[in-house]
Amino acid sequence: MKQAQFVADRQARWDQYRELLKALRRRRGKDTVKADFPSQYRRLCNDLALARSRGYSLKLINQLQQWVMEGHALLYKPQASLVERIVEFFRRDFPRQVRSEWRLGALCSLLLFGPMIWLFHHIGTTPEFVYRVLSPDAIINYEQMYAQPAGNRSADDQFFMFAFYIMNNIGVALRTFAGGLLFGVGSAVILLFNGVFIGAVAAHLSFEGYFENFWTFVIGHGAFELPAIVLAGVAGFRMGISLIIPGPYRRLEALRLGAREAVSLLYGVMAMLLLAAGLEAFWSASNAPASVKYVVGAILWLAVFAYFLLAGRDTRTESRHAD
Amino acid sequence: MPPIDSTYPVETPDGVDLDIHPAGPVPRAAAWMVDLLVRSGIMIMLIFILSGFNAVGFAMLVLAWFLINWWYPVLFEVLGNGATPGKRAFDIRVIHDDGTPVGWGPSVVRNLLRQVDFLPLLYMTGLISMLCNRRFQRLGDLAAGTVVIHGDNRRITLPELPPGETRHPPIPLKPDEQQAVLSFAERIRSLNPARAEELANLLEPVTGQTGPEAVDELLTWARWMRGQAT
Repeated sequence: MKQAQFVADRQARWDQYRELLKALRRRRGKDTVKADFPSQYRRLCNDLALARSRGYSLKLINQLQQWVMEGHALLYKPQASLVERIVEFFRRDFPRQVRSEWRLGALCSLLLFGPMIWLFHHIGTTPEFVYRVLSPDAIINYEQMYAQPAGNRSADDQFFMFAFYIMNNIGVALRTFAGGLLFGVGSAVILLFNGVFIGAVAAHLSFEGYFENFWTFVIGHGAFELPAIVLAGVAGFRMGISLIIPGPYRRLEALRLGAREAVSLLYGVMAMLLLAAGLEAFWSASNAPASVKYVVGAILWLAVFAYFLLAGRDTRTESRHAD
Repeated sequence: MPPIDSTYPVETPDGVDLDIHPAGPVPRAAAWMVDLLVRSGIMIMLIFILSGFNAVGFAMLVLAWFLINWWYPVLFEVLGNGATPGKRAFDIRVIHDDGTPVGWGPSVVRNLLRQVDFLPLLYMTGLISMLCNRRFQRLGDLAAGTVVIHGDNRRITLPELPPGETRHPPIPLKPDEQQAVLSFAERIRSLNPARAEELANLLEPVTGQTGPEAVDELLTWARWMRGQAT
């Protein structure tokens, strides 16, 4: 068949197809018409293959290919309900994934909490060691921050701090993740650095008479914040480890799979940090009595651990999906 | 025959190949600059608007900075058909390397890993990575499985050939040879006569002619191939 005849025969159908593309992009049109789209698209694929094998002109082939590409983009768009996916993620997938990464979780906990515990011990016995970690200015600054019990911030200030905590903490988490691409080294460095820094501040304030002001402030939101930073490290390491030990895959493929797992962990991390920022700004900084803050803090820590240990263990939903 | 440019084919589930044209460092750097300007513009505008609202205004400003700094490219890529405003300006966009539109996960990965690509300064790592693979992927693209391609906003119209005689070629041509002749004929209006003759002269052994006659000869074949009415 000659090209001109080929084009003439199909022109009407192609025009129809392009109308359909337009309607689908604008999310208009009757469902019956939309149902026709896949078959229309596949006929166009057929036309493209024919045009190629018959050596029709490149312009025609490029034009057909462009239309196929537009259809391809519409047809193969992921379309699960976002709400359903989010609910399933927090109910089941996120805690499961965290449990399955318990080895990396232990490693990252060690990197963050190890220096904290060591510094707590060390500064407890030799208080002047804190000056080798923090500058005198920073120490004075922190002492002033915790000189008064929390609770004298205005609502405006609380809101500002909320925004600040979001930016700062999620920024730290995202950097911890990205650093994992450097074979995990970046994540390790950020975790260690934070462990040393937080440990030094906490130890110094605890032993210099700011114990209650400090701990009543941090215990609540810490339940979400510290595990979230550990998990950001896990996400980074997941990526770095997949480069170092690709298993049965090519390194690049392993990296891609690792990054996919890591980013889903990261969604959970960001949600936890949003919660933590809310708690830190509006609860930790509130003037609730110390005893209440300790109790609530303990409950939050227990809740976080219970969530990661227990959530998503039922197999009922799986059997329902496995058909 | 492997393509002589950086184009690579992706096979769809429907059994046809799509040709992907990866975009190189230059348009991408330019797009990044435009995005930088857009982002700074938004931020400066917000500073003017929100600074009138004291603490709440500052809070919004901090949140806006967080969003623009980390999520600007992700939001535009996923919701805007793979293109940030800068990318749109240079007609490039992000897709998965299998040709499907970019999703949340890969977009988040490629944009968070910008941090690493940027090291030690101005995307040096990313540039080296792009020059080391055929699809111009920076590290973030490699990890996310994405590729930045030239868009398809080019208007393609099927040109009419100048009218004239129709004759079949003296020997049967293979599809790619046929295509070469057709491409030549369809571009004839944009070639200057000397260049057209120069190209047509290459086929002297087949056409048996040189100069303007050779060009005319090829056009008559092209009309026959297209089946265009005379």
